[in-house]
Amino acid sequence: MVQNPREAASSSPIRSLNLPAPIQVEEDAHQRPLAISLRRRRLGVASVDDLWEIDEEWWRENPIVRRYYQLTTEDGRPMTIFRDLVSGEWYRQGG
Amino acid sequence: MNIACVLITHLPVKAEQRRDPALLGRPVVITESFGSKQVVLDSSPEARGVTAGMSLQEAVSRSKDTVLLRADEPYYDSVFTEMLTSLEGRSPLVEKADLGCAYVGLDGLEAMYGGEARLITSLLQAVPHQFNPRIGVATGKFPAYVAAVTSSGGRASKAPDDVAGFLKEFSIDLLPLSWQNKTRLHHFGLHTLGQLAALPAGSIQAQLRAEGSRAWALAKGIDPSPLASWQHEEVVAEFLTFPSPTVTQHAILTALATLLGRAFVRPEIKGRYVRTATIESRIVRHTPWVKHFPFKESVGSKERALFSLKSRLDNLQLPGPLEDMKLTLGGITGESGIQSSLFSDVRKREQLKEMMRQLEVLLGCKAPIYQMKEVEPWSRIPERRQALVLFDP
Repeated sequence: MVQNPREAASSSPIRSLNLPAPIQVEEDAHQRPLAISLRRRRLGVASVDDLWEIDEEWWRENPIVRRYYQLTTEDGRPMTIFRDLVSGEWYRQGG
Repeated sequence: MNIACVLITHLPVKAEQRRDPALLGRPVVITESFGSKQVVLDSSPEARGVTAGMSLQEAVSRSKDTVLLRADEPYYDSVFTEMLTSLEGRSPLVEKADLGCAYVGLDGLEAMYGGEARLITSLLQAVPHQFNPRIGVATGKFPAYVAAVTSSGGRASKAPDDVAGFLKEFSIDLLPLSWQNKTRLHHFGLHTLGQLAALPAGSIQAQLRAEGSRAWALAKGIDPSPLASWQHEEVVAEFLTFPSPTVTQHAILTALATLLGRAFVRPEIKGRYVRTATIESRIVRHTPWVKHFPFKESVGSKERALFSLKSRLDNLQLPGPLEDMKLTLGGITGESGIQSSLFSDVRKREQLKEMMRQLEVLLGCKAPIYQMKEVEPWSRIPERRQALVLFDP
């Protein structure tokens, strides 16, 4: 018999929505995305549809500096990814 | 503004005589019920000494061999509606006043009809000849009504330019006053409109309040009230007669299904929805039975209308055997809509609260149910725009 653990679910009163998720991206010499890895599958970038940068909270210890790419993968899927210009890591994010 | 008052006196009796010509020339008394009391609604000239409002016993004692009929108000209304529709074909401005009285706007129509006389003739012809309409023409509704009252059947008369002078000899009983106020004026020795108009307005107003000031203005021939155009509702009606008077639920539902089937294939209604159904039936030795059923959700098919009406007819007590059935579908619309409950939000919140309470009991902690809230919708950082907060209904 499986007992009900009666563990408290997360009681955090506020949760952020749309948090960035790390993603593996193959980039070129100019740090532009060439392909991404999604569920162990390599998907080439068919087109970059939009590109923008944000540079926020520069006065803090961890400033938010990102270069966003709105792209379409070779299987026709639209996607928004960004490169953290401080850490050099890639993330996927909706909205 | 030139207004014609089209007046059909004794409309209920004339309507009954049209339905049954054997009543012509006979004393006819039509009665209506006021609680347990039967009073006279209308009577034919042959029923001598009988007047409207008289009790049934008194009417019968005054007029021997009288044909007594129960008032069939839906029928009188439909007869009068026919007349209004016909008048509407002659003037765009028709106001429905009391049963048998309508006001028609005449401005701008004389040229179309080739003069006022031809226009009036056309209005007289709009009403079937057996109803013998009278017409009065004046610049206001009340003088037009008085002119119509003084006219003879099938004729028209026009109020002169001196309206106050024209009205002064007529009785105050023509005024739209309550019976009590008319009696009070008679007790004050005020019997004619001229006597009333000669008094200062303030005195009448002090005695009869707002009704008094209007009565004083009308007695002076001042009636600025505009014509309120009659709103003609689009309806579809179907009718059948039972082979024999019936009270059985099965026969009534079969008749209703037949009438609905006929109505929903009519071109006026095909592909559209209806919001109301009215069932009228004549009942042996009883006043007609009329029931009005609004649909909570507008219906566009015979099946759905029958389903909705069936449940409501289940609990109805019929006053007697039905002789016939008339079904009128109204509120015809191109769209279907749902009438939502006024308290649905409150109910929904109560249901949510109960659901959360049960979850808390099951989990032993506050239920992890969140609601999305805008935090910084203007932020350039996507994860800052919205957040999930614990839901608390």
